[in-house]
Amino acid sequence: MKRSIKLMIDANWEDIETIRTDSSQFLTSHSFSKETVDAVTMIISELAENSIKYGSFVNPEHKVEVNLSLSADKIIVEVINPFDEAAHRHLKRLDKTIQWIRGYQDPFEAYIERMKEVSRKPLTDEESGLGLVRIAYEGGAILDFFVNENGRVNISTISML
Amino acid sequence: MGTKEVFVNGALKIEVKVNNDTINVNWTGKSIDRKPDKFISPILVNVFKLCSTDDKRIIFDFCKLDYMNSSTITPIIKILERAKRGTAKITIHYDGTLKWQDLNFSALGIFQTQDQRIEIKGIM
Repeated sequence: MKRSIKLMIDANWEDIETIRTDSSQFLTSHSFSKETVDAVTMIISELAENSIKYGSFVNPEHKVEVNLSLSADKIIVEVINPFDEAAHRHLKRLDKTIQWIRGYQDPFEAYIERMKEVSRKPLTDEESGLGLVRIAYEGGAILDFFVNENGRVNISTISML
Repeated sequence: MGTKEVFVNGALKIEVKVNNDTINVNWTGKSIDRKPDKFISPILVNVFKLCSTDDKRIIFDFCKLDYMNSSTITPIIKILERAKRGTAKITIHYDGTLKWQDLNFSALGIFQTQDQRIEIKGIM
């Protein structure tokens, strides 16, 4: 049985459901518990959402790429998307957020802190800012990212089994 | 007999039922919209107003919600913060046997009040 899958979608919000369904089926076929399936599917979903929100998709070849791979002791998720100079400020914010989460011994504390910040914002303020810290807390995953030689940003998570 | 109103947006359904002492807000399906607050916030604000006017307890029931993205949590958190600073009575019911729900909703315990005016309950 294959221990990894690669999924590609256009930068269409509605297509995120396809990734969710396919990754859920893949994990279930490998006999992971519902808890693990829910957690990893959430991670993939949140990263795909960020990819579409903050990536740069200027021509039809530009896709959201999701790699999901399994080993004996961990599950690795990678979400890759193109970006351009205009999206550079999002990269800085991504870096800052990941470093901020890492500053907490327990990601639950980071989640609580971010919830408190969000709760004080006006109802009209649409930004959530909870996605990455949710991945760390609820998903129990370690986040990282890099920009590859093709100018695409690769955000990855590792979930220990 | 209470009044019932059903709101549907894609895969998400929110049913609001006004009773003598309570306003039940039942969530089913999935909340996966890019900007779910546009759909959710007006419903929550309206329910919040009703509860303040008629002194009813709002009961948010998430037990049958299959999934929500992090953008969905935002308007819920904001309403809870406003309720905590005010006088509204809110109960949140979630499925305590589902780990994802337990992790998400138990964290809302920061909005609970000692007098249980605001309470968060995992149903087992």
